Amino acid sequence: MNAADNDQKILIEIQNVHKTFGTNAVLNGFNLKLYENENLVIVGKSGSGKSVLLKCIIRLLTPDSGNVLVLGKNIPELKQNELDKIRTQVGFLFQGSALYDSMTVRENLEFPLRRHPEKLIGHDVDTLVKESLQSVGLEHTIDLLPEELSGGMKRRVALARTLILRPKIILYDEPTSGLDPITAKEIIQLILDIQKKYDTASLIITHDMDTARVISNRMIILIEGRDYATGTYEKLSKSEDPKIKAFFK
Amino acid sequence: MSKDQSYIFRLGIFVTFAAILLTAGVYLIGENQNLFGSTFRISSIFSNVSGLQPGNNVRFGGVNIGTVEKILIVNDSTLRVEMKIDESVKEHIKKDAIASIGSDGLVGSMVVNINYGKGNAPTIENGDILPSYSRLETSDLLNTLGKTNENIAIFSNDLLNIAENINKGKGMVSMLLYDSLLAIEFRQSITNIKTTTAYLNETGKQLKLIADQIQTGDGLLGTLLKDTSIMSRVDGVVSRLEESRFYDQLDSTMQNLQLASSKISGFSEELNQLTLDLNDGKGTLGVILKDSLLAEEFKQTLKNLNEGSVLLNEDLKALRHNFLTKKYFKRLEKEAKKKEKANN
Amino acid sequence: MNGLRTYFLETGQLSLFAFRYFKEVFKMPFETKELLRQCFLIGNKSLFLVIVTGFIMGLVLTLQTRPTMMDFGAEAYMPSMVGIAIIREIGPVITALICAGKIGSSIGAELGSMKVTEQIDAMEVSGTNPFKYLVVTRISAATLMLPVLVIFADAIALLGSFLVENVKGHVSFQLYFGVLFEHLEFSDLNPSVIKSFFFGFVIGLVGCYKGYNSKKGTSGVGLAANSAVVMASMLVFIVDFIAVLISDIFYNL
Repeated sequence: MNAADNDQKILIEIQNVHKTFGTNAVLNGFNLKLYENENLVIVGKSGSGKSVLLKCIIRLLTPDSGNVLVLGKNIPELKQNELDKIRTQVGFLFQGSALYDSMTVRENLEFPLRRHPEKLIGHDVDTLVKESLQSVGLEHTIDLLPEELSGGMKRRVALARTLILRPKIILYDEPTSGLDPITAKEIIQLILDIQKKYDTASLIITHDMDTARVISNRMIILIEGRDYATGTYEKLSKSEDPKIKAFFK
Repeated sequence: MSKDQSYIFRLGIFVTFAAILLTAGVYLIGENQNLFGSTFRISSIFSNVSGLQPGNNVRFGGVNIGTVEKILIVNDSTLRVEMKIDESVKEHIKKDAIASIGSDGLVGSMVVNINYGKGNAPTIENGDILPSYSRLETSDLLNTLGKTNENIAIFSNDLLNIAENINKGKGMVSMLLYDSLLAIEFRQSITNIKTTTAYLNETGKQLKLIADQIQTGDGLLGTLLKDTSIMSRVDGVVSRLEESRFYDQLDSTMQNLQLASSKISGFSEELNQLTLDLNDGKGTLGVILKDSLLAEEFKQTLKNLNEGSVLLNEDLKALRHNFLTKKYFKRLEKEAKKKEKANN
Repeated sequence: MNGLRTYFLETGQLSLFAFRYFKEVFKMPFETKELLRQCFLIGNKSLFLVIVTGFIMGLVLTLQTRPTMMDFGAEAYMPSMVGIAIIREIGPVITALICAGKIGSSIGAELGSMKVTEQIDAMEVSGTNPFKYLVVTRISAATLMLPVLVIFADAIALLGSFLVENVKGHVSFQLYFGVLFEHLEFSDLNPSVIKSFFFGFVIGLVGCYKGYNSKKGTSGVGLAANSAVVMASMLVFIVDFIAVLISDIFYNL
């Protein structure tokens, strides 16, 4: 792994991050590195602070201490306009899709684009919206409202909305939660396709080991607010540590 | 129109309508405060403004023509009321117009009334100071009128008594036949009395007419209120008084007058009778001739009567000049002149 | 003690929220399209409700005060009395309360559910400013639209009052509005229009504040909507009281 460290560019580096809610220390010295073109999966029990970690990366939450370096910038110290610039390069797929339910699918996709005209790069909004929808296979839903879509379709539209700004990194918060196994598989396949097509790095948090197995290049197991163990799925599945073993049952 | 723009269109309609409503409201309020039309300023000096406030209306002949802009205290007994007046009524207000302060209805706010002047003074100009009248209570005026009428009533009562006395002492009159001086005096008296009674008769009729007109509520009183300069003092005050009370007082006055005139006419009938008797020369003339004491008394009576009729004349003259009736008499004179002219 | 603490905390947070609004409202770029959409939703969509309540208020107020005024023999003062009551107080306050119910709750619920379903977070992570898009537009729209609604409410309430006067007292349209506008002054209209802006601002502010800071879960949404209405209604009265005090200084009422 050390060889890989030197070869590849680090996109996200989290160093010794602490985050406490009241008396509950959710993150307690967490470390992480995300490399280019990598699918990194973080697994942990519900309430173990996976979502908090993800939100710290994009500063929806601010860590109490520690550094969060995204594309070389320390997120907690950025000014608002610098942060916004970083945010357009980092996609975020929410657990519940988080589509704007007062807007149609088209408006949902246009929303970030219209507010970042620099991302158009010569294309017009319509082309980019259609292209983005095409890549998730939902061109026909363009004028529908989110409430008219199924759970799986929502997830895909949300992904299309994330993709439209052409992010270098995509953060997935439980991408398969709340979906039936077949749809979940489709979504996983889509994530892999997208990663190939757009050359993105992905940071995926999940509690579902099947997802982790299919998707991950590398895994981090989050226990007690720390990066308890790091390694490939195969390597970790053979671990003798009872705490790790508990995940693979 | 695309779906996108339809709501913006409807929003536009919505806001436009509200703007129209607001503008209309602002205009209507502003019009009342003379904010938008061209205006000019005049002022007037009062010693007491009776609670007048800036913003109160200014009326000219009962029409709202402006508002009170400022009230300045010049010194301990002088208040200067500045008024903003609509430019369009400027030509109608003369320099001798009179400002007074009245109230708008029983519980209403105060108003400044500007009343027509008497003469043909030049038109008012910006910054002019109008003469003012302090208010005069209507009740005072009515009291004066009532007193006058009471006097007339008492006086005619006295006359009646005298006439009765004469009637009783019939025989005494024959003395006149022998006493030339007395006869002359008596004749004069009779003529005086005759003119007086004629006068009284006429007055009685006229007063009745006045009363009728006042009761119907138009004509005379209205004319008086509008025209005479004296009445301008009462203008605001009268409108404040309860109508019924006003009419009651007038009514009783009129009744007094009517009583007076009826008594006077009774008196003149008796006088007539007396003259007839004298003409016939019958009765107890001899008795009178012998009784010098009675003759002496009669002389005195006649003298009194003479004096009385002169007083009555004066009183009637006073009545003629009284503010309420003056105009009416004037009009009668005018009409009489007109008739004369027509006849000529 | 705890209640007092919560109160001061809430007041402080609300003030910060208002401060943030003023900081962002003049900052480019403007979300004009969303502002217009919110104006439409707040203005046009509340119009029917406001018109109905305004009409009934005018009707009822006139019917209720008429007997008393008749006792005084002051029927002639009905148009000006009811008119001034409507313009000065009834129109703005009733409209504000209706809107606190309708607009306050809908903003609270909408933003609350957006918060709960992470839509606000989604906007934030796409590098856009949800405060500007969601909060600034809504508060501005409410601030701008409430006076407009008040004008409609006033007009309709006066119409209702006129109808009663017309039926019961045979007062003609011209006479009613002639007497009304004779007695109305700018000191009646100006403060009420100005305070309507503040009513709108308070309603928008509280609705947005409650929704934007709504707690997780569906019950959080309900709570946000509910407390938005309660707080907005209360603040409307407080603002009204302050407005009366201030206009008293300027107009010597």
